[in-house]
Amino acid sequence: MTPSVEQTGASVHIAGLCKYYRKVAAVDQVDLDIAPGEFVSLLGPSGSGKTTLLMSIAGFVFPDAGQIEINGETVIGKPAHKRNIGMVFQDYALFPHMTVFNNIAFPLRLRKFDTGEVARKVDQTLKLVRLEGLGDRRIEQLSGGQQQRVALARAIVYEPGLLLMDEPLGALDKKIREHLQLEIKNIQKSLGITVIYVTHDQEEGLVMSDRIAVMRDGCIMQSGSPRTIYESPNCEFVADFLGDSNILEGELTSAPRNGFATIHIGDGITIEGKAPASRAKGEQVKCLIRPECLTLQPSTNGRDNRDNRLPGKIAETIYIGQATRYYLAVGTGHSVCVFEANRDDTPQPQIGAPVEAVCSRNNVMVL
Amino acid sequence: MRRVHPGWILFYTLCGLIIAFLVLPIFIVFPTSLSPVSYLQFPPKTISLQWYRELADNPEWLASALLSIRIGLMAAAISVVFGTLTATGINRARFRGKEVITAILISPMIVPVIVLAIGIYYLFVDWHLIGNPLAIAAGHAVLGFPFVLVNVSVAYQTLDPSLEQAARSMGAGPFTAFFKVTFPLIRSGIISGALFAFITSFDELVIALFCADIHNTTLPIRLWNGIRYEMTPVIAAVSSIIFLTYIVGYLLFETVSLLRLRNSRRAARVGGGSEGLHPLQGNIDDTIS
Repeated sequence: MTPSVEQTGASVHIAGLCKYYRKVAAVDQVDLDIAPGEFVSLLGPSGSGKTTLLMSIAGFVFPDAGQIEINGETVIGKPAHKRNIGMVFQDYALFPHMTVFNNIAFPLRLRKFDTGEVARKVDQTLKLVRLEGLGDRRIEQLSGGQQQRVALARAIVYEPGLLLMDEPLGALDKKIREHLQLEIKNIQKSLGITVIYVTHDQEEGLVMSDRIAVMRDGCIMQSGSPRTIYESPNCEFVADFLGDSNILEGELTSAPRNGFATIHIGDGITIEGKAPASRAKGEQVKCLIRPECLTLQPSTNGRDNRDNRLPGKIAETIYIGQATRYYLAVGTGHSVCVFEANRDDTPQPQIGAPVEAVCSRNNVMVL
Repeated sequence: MRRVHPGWILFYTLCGLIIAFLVLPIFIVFPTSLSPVSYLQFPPKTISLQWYRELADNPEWLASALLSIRIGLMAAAISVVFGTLTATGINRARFRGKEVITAILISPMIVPVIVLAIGIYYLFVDWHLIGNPLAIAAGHAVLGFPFVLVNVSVAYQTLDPSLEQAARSMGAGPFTAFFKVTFPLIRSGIISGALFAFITSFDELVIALFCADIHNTTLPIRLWNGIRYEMTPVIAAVSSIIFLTYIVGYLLFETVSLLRLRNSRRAARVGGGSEGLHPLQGNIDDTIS
């Protein structure tokens, strides 16, 4: 059932894009280059400007400054209906007065395809989104997940090079959402279409994207592969926004050498971690340790010094199914979270028990 | 036996009285029109269709009715065009003072009609439009326009603004997007606005009195003159016919919308059970619209 449609993705070039609402920058000097066929997520909390950026590309928001090029051609000043972009909206935006078939046929009829061609393409696309035989249903007869599939079909049936998606799965249940994430990703890969995908769900961003651009206050804070963003965030905001994180404040007690430095986090506790060479000895820094990188072991009172060790007492344990989340009180004023996968043989430390959270120096990042 | 609380008896009695107060005057007209005497008599002593015969013999009444229908249709058309355009503009506009503008636009609903009528009269005298049916229709459209504006604005409030954006993103220009997507979804608002505008014009007396001349006597003017100069049950006969027409029209409208609703539900059920049907089947209406 591989589609015979050959679509090639468009390239997108955005430079210095600004959009102000009453002097508040909704999009602030954004630069972004997207390769053909790339799946890029704009990830950020609400109000971070990701939807404004998307709507500027779609042609529904008119930027105050900057450049947007699609396939090397500027689209500034070009009306939305001449940009040949596919778009999927958060609330689906399906036409309630038309059947599924006619919703998907809408863009084809605008393009004056003949009746047979329309029927063939709609059928093919219905198959692609796995809704064969539902063409004559009315929109209100479909479930939320099915409606989203129709919206996707309608946005790709005319083979645009660029597909914009604005939190398309936001209104769906977790199970359906996870299922559709993979399906959208597969369809995108098989068609080779370029996708810009707006979401505030960090997991969705990680699962689907070739690249994530994390946004805050109208700026792109960091842009990179899901792995880079998660494992090497360039600031506290990105570290905190993606996944759970422990941010420990401390002082560099050595200049970085071979990419590593030592950090004193107070109470005589010193850890070693990756640090950029630009950092100097004596500087106040923040370092990131992901909770799943830490393991708990009974207190060794310093006899074991192979790894970074954070001695503390269990303050709280939270059972979350596949794992248990332990909160440790470390030194004065540090709360450190540790994820331990729940296996049968995992000993369950009691609250108040003296323990150590251990990780290698590769898992500590000076931000 | 179940005891009924005395409060309920009082409640139903009151409701009955209120309904009687609102509805009974309408029903007095009908028996009055059946009286054979040449003055308004209620209840009639004997029954006769004399005044209906007189009405049929007198072509002036029919001419007035046709004129009023014509003016009503023109007034409704003018109200629909301007009301829909205005509602669309206000719905899209993003500026402060939107509420003020809306309030000004619907003010003809609140301003005494006599005030409007005098204003319109002065204007039309200057423009030599007195006696022109289109001018009367334009005057009536001032009253009908707010109905369309309000009804269409309500329709817009339930309309998802991203629908039109979706159409635009797929390549529809602003006009195509409006006529293929927005218009079908606000159509019911436009139709009810148009009905209100028509009825408002059809029984409007004051503006018509100012703007009509001797050759253009609308039905309300002829009724008014009848009451002033003749006081025969012919007026009651005309009123009864108008009332019956309204009732029949209303029942027809309700029946048609009920049937349409039932049909679309049935179509929905049929569509729901027809997996594997060719997608082109059963799409013909939607394809055209």
